[in-house]
Amino acid sequence: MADGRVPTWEEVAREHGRFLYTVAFRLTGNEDDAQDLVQEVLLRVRRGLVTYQPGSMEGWLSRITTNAFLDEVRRRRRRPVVALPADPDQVVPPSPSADVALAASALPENVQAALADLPDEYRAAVVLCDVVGLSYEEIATALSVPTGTVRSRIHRGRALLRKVLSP
Amino acid sequence: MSEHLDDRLSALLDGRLDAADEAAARAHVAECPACAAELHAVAATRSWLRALPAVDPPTGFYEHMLGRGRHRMPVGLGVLAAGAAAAIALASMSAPARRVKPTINPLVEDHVVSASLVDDPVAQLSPIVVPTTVFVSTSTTVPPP
Repeated sequence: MADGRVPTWEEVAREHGRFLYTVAFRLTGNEDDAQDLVQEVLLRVRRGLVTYQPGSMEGWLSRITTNAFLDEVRRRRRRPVVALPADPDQVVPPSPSADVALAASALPENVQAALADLPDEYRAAVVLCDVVGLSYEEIATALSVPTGTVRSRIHRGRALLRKVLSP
Repeated sequence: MSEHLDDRLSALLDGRLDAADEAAARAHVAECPACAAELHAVAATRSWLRALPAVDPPTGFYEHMLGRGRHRMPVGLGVLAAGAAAAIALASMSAPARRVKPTINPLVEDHVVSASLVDDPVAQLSPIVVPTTVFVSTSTTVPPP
């Protein structure tokens, strides 16, 4: 908002809905989780749970989205989904990495699949840097880590992707 | 030769090194095939990521959410809305009924003509009355004062 006013959730949905959904989809890697994440972001905006600093609307939204995403990641780690040890698919989700490696191309679907396989913290850093286009400083603020850590995560994330996409 | 560049390669690509570090990194890449290959590969990965297209939400996703959000209005707003609705209802009750120019009459007349049962012996037992005007009130429950 140019006037520094906190945007309403309707404004966010109407004017930045596509951007918000894109970030949520790149972070979560699937439509269901992306939709849940977008709803959580809009809820936080609506309840005034997020402080607004005048500046880049996209930077602000991606910060909220990433925080909500990582909150959910941490919540799931505390209460892991009960897995059935007898069924290996339940313990280790089927990974598209093998197919991606065979294809060895950089189709967006392949890049997305490889991205979804990255450790969450690396993925968050890579998405904020290369999908959203935030600076290292903005990412450091969003993730509450030093810029040196941001640099390391971005590089490790890209290097892991590179191994999958161009073996 | 100095140690491999590792995350300084990404910093180099992102323009995050100061002039001296950048010069040193480029000098290293020039003489280290491993770092040169890694720089090339990471640069390609970076460009693939940056080329990822925007993703559209499913059709009606936000409309549905906004609609649902309105129905789940907080209590305070709900009371305000109820008050506003009551005020509108009161206003419409006190407003005089007005005669509107009916656009429905030609249609009724057309229908009467096209559905004419003049030659039908049963219909002739009960003559059809053609309305000449249609009165439309702004309120169907409250008669005009």
